[in-house]
Amino acid sequence: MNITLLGISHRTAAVELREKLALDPDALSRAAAAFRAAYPEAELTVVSTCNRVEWYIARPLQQPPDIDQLRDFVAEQSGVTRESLVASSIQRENLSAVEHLMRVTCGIESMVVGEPQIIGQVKRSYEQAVALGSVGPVLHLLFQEALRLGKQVRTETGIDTGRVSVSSVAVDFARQIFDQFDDKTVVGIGAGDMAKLTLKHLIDLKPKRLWLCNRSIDRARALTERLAISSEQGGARQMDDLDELLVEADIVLTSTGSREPVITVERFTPLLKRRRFRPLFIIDIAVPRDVESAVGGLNNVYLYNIDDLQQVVEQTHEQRSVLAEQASASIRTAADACMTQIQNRDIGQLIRALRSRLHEIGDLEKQRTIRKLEHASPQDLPALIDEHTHRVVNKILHMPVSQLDRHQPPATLGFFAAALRRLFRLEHDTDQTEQEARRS
Amino acid sequence: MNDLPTTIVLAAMTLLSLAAWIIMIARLGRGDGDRPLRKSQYSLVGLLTLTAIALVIYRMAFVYQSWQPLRAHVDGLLLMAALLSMAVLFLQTGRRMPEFSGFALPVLTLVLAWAICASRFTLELFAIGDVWKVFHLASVYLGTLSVAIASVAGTMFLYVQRRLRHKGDLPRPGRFASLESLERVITRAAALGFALLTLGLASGLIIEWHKPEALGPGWWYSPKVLLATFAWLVFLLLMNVRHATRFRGARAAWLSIFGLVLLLATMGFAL
Repeated sequence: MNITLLGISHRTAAVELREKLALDPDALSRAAAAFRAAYPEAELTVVSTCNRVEWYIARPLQQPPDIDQLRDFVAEQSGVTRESLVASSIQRENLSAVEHLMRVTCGIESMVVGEPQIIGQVKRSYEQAVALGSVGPVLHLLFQEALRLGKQVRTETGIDTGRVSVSSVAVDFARQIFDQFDDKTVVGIGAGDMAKLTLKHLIDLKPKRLWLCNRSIDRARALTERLAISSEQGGARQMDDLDELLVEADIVLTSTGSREPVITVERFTPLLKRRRFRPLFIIDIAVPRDVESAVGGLNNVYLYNIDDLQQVVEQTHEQRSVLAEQASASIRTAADACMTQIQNRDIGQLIRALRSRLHEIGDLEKQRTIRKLEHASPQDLPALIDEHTHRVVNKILHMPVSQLDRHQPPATLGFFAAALRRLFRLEHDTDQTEQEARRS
Repeated sequence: MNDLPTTIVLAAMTLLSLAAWIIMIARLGRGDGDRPLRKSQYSLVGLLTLTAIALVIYRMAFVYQSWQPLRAHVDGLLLMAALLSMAVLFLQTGRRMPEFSGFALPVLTLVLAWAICASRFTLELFAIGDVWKVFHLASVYLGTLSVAIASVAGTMFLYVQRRLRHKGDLPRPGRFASLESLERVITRAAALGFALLTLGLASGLIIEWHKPEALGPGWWYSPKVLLATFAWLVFLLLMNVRHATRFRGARAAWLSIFGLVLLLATMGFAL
């Protein structure tokens, strides 16, 4: 059995090409039907995400499609030129293809190493292919093993833990400080794009109130609308209300364009008592900073600026790279085991087919010999048995021996000769024949 | 009642607790890849809990041949250890207070080590004359257990807060209980401890009223009574930190530890 992968990813192709090659469910359904019609013996699964489109096929060794045929097929289905596909795609066969899929499910090939979404995406792709009937026993085994390994590696190494964006770091810190958010107030100061992204993450925590405070109240209102904050949940506030908001707040996100700090120790210290010394989590993602660093030293105030958050993100990336390296060894072992399983399964089928073919020959010859025996005398028996044996042996050997003609390329001939010697243990016999020939 | 098997089992339990504690420290140092170590720690605590329960039953059934608990200080400490290890076992399987159980292990080890001394070197049977004495002892031991849990939460609060403030060593998300939940445990355990200690103090006063010779003349300014009252005041403050807001956060955590130290000192004077 041969397993082939043809794919593009964020590492090999620009987003324009990835867009063209991506398959929605309808396109996938059409492609699978066309593939089955063109190559009925082969199996197909397409993993299509925003960062990668990969075609995995399994086919009997001498059956189409080979990699060139597959490339033509993909080009035809997606409408891209063959040349652009050749220039931007990767191709892998057998063990390399298996290992690649396992690296994908483990998140090692992802843009953010260890990200957890890919395992769900691969699972969905596999389920779609199963529903379309394009998956056979080989790809079943391969994808189930890859998905199992993806979960195992995540559990064993913790490669999917840690924070990978400034916004998610901020939310994780909030969770480490607070236990519940339905009684908490979030205050956003400034209405930039970065604030919007982090506020989206904070809204997911379902706080009791969310106020947006900006020099321009209109911009604050616009952001409130974009974030779909209802009037019961909060709304836009004037910058003049800041002290009041700082008293009410449990989480503060600042991202103004101010050249001077907005929250200073002098401003905040008198508010501590009014806040009843409740814990306050301040996320300062503005540059220059909006909050004086001394504010972070006050009792029950936890202040993080953009560098602190960025540092955590970088630590996570470094940590994940190390874990990915560790996971690679497990992936190689699992890929080897999976490939062996696939080949063993293939060999099993081959042996069954060979037995069946030989029995067919045997049965045909048996019928022929029985017919002859009906009219034969006992004296003819040895000759008939000799003839029967001779015919059976000749018929069995006809097909393989006919492959050994002199027109085959030398490499193929060498391969066949080595296989014959090994399979029928002829090494010793050929040595003896050569010696006898020399002697004579 | 100087029972050698009790001392041997207590020593084994102390070693188990110490081993679980060492594993916990190793896990804190290792970061994320700690799954096998965590399983070992949990198994040790499970074994410890079963042993503690078995020892409590053994002492009642074979040593005293009576179902009346708290016959000596060692029994009180053993009861505390059994309840604490059960609490640890319960908390380590739950999700709301991750790693809380690990911070209780030093306290558990300390209680067990003290129980070894109480079983062998400073063994003294309580003179249980009336029901007030049993009531007093039960309140004090259970109150101390609550206070110990508050101090464990306090220690963990300080540890997590330190890691949050030293930004180079931030904990993995979800690795530890949040500061808010730890503060809640401090105040609730302190409130329970305060209630039980109040009962302990009140029953102690009743005992003293009936038997003035128990603590001798000038008992009201004896170190035991003064320290117990001081500890009682600390927990009165601690259970109200949400109102006495200046004591919130790290201050409440330090107070919980200070309160436990005071209570242990009071017990030291009691022996």
